[in-house]
Amino acid sequence: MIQLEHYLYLSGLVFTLGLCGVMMRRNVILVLMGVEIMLNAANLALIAFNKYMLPIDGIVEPKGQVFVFFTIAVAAAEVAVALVIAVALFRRLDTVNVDDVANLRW
Amino acid sequence: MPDSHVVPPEALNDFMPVLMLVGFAISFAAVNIVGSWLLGKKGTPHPIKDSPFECGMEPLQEGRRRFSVRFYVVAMLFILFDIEVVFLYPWAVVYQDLGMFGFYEMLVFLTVLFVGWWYVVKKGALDWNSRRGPLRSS
Amino acid sequence: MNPAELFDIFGTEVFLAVLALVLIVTDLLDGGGKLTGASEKTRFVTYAGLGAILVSTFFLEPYGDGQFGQLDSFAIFFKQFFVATALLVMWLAAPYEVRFPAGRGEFSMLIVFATLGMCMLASCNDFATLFVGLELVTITLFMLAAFRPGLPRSIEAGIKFVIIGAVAAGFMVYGIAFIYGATGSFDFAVVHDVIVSSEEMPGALQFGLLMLLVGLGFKLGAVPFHVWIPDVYQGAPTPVTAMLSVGSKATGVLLMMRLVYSILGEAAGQWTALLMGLAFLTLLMGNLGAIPQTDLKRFLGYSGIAHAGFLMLALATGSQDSANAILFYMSTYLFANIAAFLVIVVVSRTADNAHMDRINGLANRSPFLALVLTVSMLSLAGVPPFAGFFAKFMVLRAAVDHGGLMPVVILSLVMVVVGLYYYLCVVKRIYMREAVDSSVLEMSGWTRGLLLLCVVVMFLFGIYQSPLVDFARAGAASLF
Repeated sequence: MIQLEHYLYLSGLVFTLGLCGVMMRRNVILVLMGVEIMLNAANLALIAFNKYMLPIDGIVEPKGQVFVFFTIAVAAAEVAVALVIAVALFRRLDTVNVDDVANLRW
Repeated sequence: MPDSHVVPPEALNDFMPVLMLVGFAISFAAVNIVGSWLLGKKGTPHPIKDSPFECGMEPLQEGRRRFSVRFYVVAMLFILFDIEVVFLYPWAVVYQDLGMFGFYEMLVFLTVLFVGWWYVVKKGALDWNSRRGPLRSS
Repeated sequence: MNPAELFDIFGTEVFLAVLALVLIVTDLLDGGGKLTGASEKTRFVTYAGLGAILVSTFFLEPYGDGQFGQLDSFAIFFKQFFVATALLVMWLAAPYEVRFPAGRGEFSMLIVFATLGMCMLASCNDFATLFVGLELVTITLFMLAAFRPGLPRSIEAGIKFVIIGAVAAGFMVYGIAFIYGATGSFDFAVVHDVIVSSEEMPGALQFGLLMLLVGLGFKLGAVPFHVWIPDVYQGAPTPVTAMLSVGSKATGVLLMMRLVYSILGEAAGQWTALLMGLAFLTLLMGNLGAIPQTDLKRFLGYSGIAHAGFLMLALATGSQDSANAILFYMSTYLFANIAAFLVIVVVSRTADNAHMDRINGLANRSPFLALVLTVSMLSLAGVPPFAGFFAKFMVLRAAVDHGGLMPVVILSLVMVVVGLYYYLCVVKRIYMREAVDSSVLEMSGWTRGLLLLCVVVMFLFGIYQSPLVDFARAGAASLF
């Protein structure tokens, strides 16, 4: 039977996968995909919590689901800006590899 | 942590066809792969043997082409305006309860979106043939 | 939330949003189709708008709790702080703006949007408002950091900022999800009630709050999350660095204060050890990292981390005195940093880097600039006649009163001495070294005026602190 725990395990797994993607990938676009996966894991957790929330006076306010709308909209804005910067990076330095972007150090 | 709802077992019956379809898809793929491995001829690889015989032309260049950056600009703008619409659905659902306040609220929201769209048009980001664009490096 | 309540609480934000939209429209009507359009009209609208909004914030009356926000004296203090910061940054940016290829209208607009997000954060009492406001600030700052796409340095700053910022946002949303799961609400007050009423904090809640701390630590520049600061500070255009170093840090401080004083409240004692550890590491990292720097902006980045360490120390203390100290500290830090960055803008006019050699022999080239930078460095170091000294003194006194923080207090005293060393190294360059190039440094009357204002403020509040202390105390009063 699927219960809250299972959703949370899944969301934890997805979050970890996203984080691994961010840390291990070297391509900016793939790093951004990792970030998106992390945000989606959080969305999954929010919705699961909302679904299994105990009702107060017989109703459960869909607060968690409404929050997910905000997360989705913000994530879209974030990714759009990140892509713009990635495109600018490609135009200027001819690379999308984050290891090549290391002129500023120490 | 809150108690979980109990999903009645008969609700699972609705998903039975889906489960069967998944099982069928997996077994079909498995049969094909295993079958070709069993029946297929195993021999020493050779460039002429491996060439696509009577399958059209030899590939002249790499199959993957680089997209023009303009696609990315349009795609980004699409994502932004597309996602903003996410707020229209819940609004539409409770529109009756919100009354005029909801109407004006959405008007404000759309005004902001409209200014954004006007900005995009004026900066020539949707102008396919123009040489100027928002991402010109300087 | 009804419209009247919305306006009572978020009036400043509404004005800022309207100002930003007006700026876009002005820019578009004024030949914004040209990418190099740098119009006087947008500049005028920005200054007039921000000035009017700053004045309006002084007429704000505390309103109390609303559905998505609150307006207490603390929120009003920070709204004034943020709008003033935005105005000073725009003022500071005036001699720099000619270098923006993408036009000045967008720059002003993005600064105004960032300020809007910051003001939203000042009066948030709900995690939804917090998240949206924080992301509004961060995303606009991503764009601003990469605002000179012709410079590889600027793009590099942007890409590093985006990636680390987005990961921090991911952590924060995940944390908020667990806080929601444990309490069933996004409201700070409800979360506070759950924390205080339960004998032991539920695991999910504790986990959520820790994840939230990651997101806030990123904004504040506290140690495990500080890695972006030096690179982004160095690479971003100088006015943007100023905005980052003051505005963005202040949002971190403000949210940490809400977290420690309002959400944790009486349970803040459970976190003292954690915050103390972070303060210890932050102080160590910032101060030691600043010593070998050769780029002024990067140097100020590390110095900013060191100051974040001091603020963390005050947060770990968790007393009312420390809250006053933090607000006083931020106010003095604002003027010292604006002065330093404005000198950098003027000095590095001809070149696109802020290498420390550029201030060699500044005393001969422009005694006025040399004086301003010296005062700024001494104030940041915490030398007596200047405001920075009293700020550090207030933090340390609050920490000593607390009693349990002795290791960090001793470390911070050592670090004040270390700080004195590296700030004086900068002063030494100004007075003792030969100038690398001795061209005349031009600046407009407005720039001169801003520099003078900063020096006067740093000096005045160094010898006569009580007005600013009272102002800070009134601001912090509503937290308790």
